[in-house]
Amino acid sequence: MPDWLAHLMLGFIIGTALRMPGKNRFFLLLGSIMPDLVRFFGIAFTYFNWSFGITYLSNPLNTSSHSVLGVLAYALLLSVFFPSTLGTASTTWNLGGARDKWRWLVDRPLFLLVFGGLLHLLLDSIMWPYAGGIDWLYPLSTAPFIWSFGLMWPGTFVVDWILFPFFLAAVIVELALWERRRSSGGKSFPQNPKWKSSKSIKDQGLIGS
Amino acid sequence: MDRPTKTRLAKVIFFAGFVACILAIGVWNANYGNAPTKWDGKPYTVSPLMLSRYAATLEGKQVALVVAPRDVSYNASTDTLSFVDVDTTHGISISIIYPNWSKNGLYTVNDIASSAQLAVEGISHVATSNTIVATAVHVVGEETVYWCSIVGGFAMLAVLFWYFRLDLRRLRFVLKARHSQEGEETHA
Repeated sequence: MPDWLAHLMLGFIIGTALRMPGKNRFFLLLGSIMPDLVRFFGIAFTYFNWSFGITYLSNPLNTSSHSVLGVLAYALLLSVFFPSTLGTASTTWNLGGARDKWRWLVDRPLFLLVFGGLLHLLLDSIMWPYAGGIDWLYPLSTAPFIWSFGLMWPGTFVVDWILFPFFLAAVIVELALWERRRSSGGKSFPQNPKWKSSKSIKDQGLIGS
Repeated sequence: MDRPTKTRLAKVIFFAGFVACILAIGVWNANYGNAPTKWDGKPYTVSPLMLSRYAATLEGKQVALVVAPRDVSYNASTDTLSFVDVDTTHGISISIIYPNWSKNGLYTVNDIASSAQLAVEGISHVATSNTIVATAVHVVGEETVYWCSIVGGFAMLAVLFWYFRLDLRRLRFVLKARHSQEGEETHA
């Protein structure tokens, strides 16, 4: 269980590397902590000392949310509350020549939530298997340690310290780009120059006239 | 029913079906699941119920037990930390002894006492099926670190929220507007 800070830092670093716009980055970060959201049940049940809930509700939910199928299921549920497409794929995604090809996909909250969730599983898999380890294929397979690298014990900030320099570098890059855009375009917050020419929500037909 | 509504409904149904299956599997595993067999020299997490049920199989094995400690006490003369976990649903009591506590280097007694969950590696002795005495060789407290990270995580999300000027009200507005437009198209 690398903590939320570690998961969010990794999401931020990946978001900077791919030059994600803010909306897309938000969904990536939400996805990167999504598998841990059900842990609130476990904490609440433990606080109230409700063993039945821990055994039959929170443990199965937590195990399932830390699997590929679970990430997909939880992402599907969360995506219900948001538009199916964000309309930002043509702006800042650093996908090179593949941008046009994958535009239909990278612009979708569902994809970003799944992507973030898989990053979460990857980061969790570096630790010693705590609370059963990460069963990537649950409930299809419950073989223990199938994807655990067993590098460190959870409950410490080791992962945070490893990620922190990269996170700091990502923040510096973002601030430098922000400053460059501000000095050239007069914008007071990060905004890709292409946004000026990109279609507005109304133009895209998302809002009825 | 228009297509976006059908899509949303399908997503919710998939999620509900998935959770229903997971809970059914969880109940089955807790009551009829087999004891873990692939130890591979590494600790394996078990519930108090499973530890109780397969006490004979698990004795001497390296396991990680997720417990909420009670009655945490430290004996300075023997340098031993002891605590108890009770599974009230199944009437199981687990007494865990951690020798050489001062050499653990990670947590204080207060850290352990304030933890809601605790991973204990190394169950070395099982007395009876319902009263288990175990010797811990490694303890990981989670709660303090976890809450710190959650608070820090929300703070970081708030900063990012402000940083990118993300306005969820706008997203909701877009969703509503898009939905109404699609409805109009359907009618047309």
